[in-house]
Amino acid sequence: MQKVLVIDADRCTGCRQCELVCSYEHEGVYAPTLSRIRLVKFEDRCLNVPVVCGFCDKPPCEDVCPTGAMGQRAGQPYAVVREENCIGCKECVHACPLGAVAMHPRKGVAMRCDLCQGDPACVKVCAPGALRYEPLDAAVRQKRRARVVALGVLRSPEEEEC
Amino acid sequence: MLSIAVDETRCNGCRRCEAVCQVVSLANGGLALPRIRIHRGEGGWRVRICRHCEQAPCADACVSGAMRADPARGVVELDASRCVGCYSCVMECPFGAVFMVEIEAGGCRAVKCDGCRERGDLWCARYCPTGALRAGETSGAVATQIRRERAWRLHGAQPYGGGARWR
Amino acid sequence: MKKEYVVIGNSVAGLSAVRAIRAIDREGSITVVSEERHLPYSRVLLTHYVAGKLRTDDLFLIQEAFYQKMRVRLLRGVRAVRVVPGERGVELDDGRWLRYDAVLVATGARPYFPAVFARGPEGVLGLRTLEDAVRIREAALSGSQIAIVGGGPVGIKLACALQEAGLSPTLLVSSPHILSQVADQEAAAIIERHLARAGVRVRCGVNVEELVAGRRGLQALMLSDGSVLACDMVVVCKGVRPQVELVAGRVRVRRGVVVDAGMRTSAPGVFAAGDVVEVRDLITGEERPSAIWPHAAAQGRVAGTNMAGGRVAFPGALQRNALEVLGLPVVAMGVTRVPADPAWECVITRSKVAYRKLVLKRGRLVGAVLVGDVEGAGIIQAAIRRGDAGWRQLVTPRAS
Repeated sequence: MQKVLVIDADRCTGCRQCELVCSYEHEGVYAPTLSRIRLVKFEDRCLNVPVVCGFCDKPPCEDVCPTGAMGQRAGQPYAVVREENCIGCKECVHACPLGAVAMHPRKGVAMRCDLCQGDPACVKVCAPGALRYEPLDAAVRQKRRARVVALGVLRSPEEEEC
Repeated sequence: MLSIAVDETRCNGCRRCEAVCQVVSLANGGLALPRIRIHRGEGGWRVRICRHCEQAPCADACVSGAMRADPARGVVELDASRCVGCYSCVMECPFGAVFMVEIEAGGCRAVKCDGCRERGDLWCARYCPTGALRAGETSGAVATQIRRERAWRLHGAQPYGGGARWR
Repeated sequence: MKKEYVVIGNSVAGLSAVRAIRAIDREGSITVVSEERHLPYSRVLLTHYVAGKLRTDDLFLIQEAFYQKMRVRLLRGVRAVRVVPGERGVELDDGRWLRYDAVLVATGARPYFPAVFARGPEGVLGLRTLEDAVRIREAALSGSQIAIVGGGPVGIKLACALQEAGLSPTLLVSSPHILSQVADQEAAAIIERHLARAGVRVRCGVNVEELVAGRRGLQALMLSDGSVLACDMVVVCKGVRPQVELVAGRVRVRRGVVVDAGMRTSAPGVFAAGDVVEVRDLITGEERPSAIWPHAAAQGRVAGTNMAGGRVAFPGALQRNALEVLGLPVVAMGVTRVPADPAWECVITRSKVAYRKLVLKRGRLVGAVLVGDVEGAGIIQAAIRRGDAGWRQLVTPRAS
């Protein structure tokens, strides 16, 4: 079963451990700007949203890439940025509807999540469980359940009493 | 690096960018030629403007040292006085954003976007009525904006679910 | 610990390697060994100098200040004799010994002379160095008869340059048409007509059989069709060969130095880039030297980054040439000559001023020849590199 990276923003505490471990995994330094996963904070709403590649089926970043740098490397199951082909035109950065592709500030090439080739480090360090890496059907089941509960919460108190 | 976001699906072909660019170029002492070009391609308008690549292939290919990435200003610049019109950059640019213009009999020079004088505020982007052109000062500027908008739509603005616990 | 880098060769591959090293390693010491006394100049612009459109000062790629800014020790007029990977050192011709942690061999290539020219009299030369160009320019100004051998890009550009300098040069081509390695027959015919109109004589299908030397050097060429061509100077533009002597026998060398995608040779710590190496062709998969400028710049950057501890790869070579033939732009990329095989097809658009041909192999874009109108050549190149099927929009004519 295909596994997906599930983001549960409700649980995110905004600790930025995922950013740190991601940059360390990929670049060997602790620097959030070098991370493939980025945290967006809405302070006024106490909302923290980790943003990461959505692993689209028809990725716009791959569509717009003029050099074919966004894509799979032969023999590797997860999509990467082929840095040797990347010219740093930033088309993918702008095309990504999630804002999950960023530019490497030093190398001048695109950065995007490669799921650590199947073993995402961010998931392992996420203490509150805002990031999960699980089979697609399990993720859908959980989401469905959460939705039903949420809908229940929205009912008026009278209805809930019956 | 300057970031220019081009969304061709939004372009309606009004060519305001071309007109503005021409005026700005003239005002800056250049040729009265647009450095951005719009033309109708298959299935819609094509916008041809330099993306100021970080690993610019045109600069790699330039045999006279006229095309240079300027990390300080964050743009790929063309020193027209050194250009010999060899077509190398035209051959390399994957966006077709370097144009050759004849400036005298038999002599051609390359012309491309110079990122305007005011960084982060490209005149073409400022005058684009549809949002087909957007510009930001750094390579992440536009992406950060997209990321924020999207994160809000997905998790913040929902009537239920995301964020509800903290409301 | 401070790393010691040695870069042998001071042209585009060497320079872009220096930039790449400095971008990563601000501490290490960089030494550039340059056989030529000049600052690096653009060899591609030498024909513009011959035409009188540029002065020598315009040819230099960088100023002296570059070396100070990059904190590079530049050894000019010094030749590296051999690289000894076992002792991690380079021997120079003045007896000095340079120790290195990483060395880049970017010695480039030299013009190839067929046997008949090998021990020719005064007046036989190639076009590779500034000295060559100066000699040709002097000969042109004194009104010499100059013949050019070889119908490749360099030969054609030199013929155009001499024509612009007011001479009427003769281009001798052994193949049945010009640009036989680069473009197809139809494109060549258009360019030949254009050259002929401008006053450049092109003679295809002739070889030089013998050189006739007089008291003051070259006098005439005996050609394979039996005719005799009087000339005082012959410039041989039959391509270049990698200069591999420096490392021959110590690292793997075939036609050029064999490197992997990271521009590493078979010896640890020894990198090579530019015209001296042979690289895998993106389309044919063939390993061969590719003496073109953009490859040298890209390979130099890859080598420099890897020397300083980074990890990047060169994506592979795509043979391509852009030239301007007396106002007529020509771009040829990838595979341009189509074998007689049903898997291959051509999409050709012709107009009064332009000839555009796209070459497809099993529906995949693998090459293009554009003459007259080269607009969007880069878009086509990107499509070739991606290898996708979205090439059809490229042939639709542009609405102005």
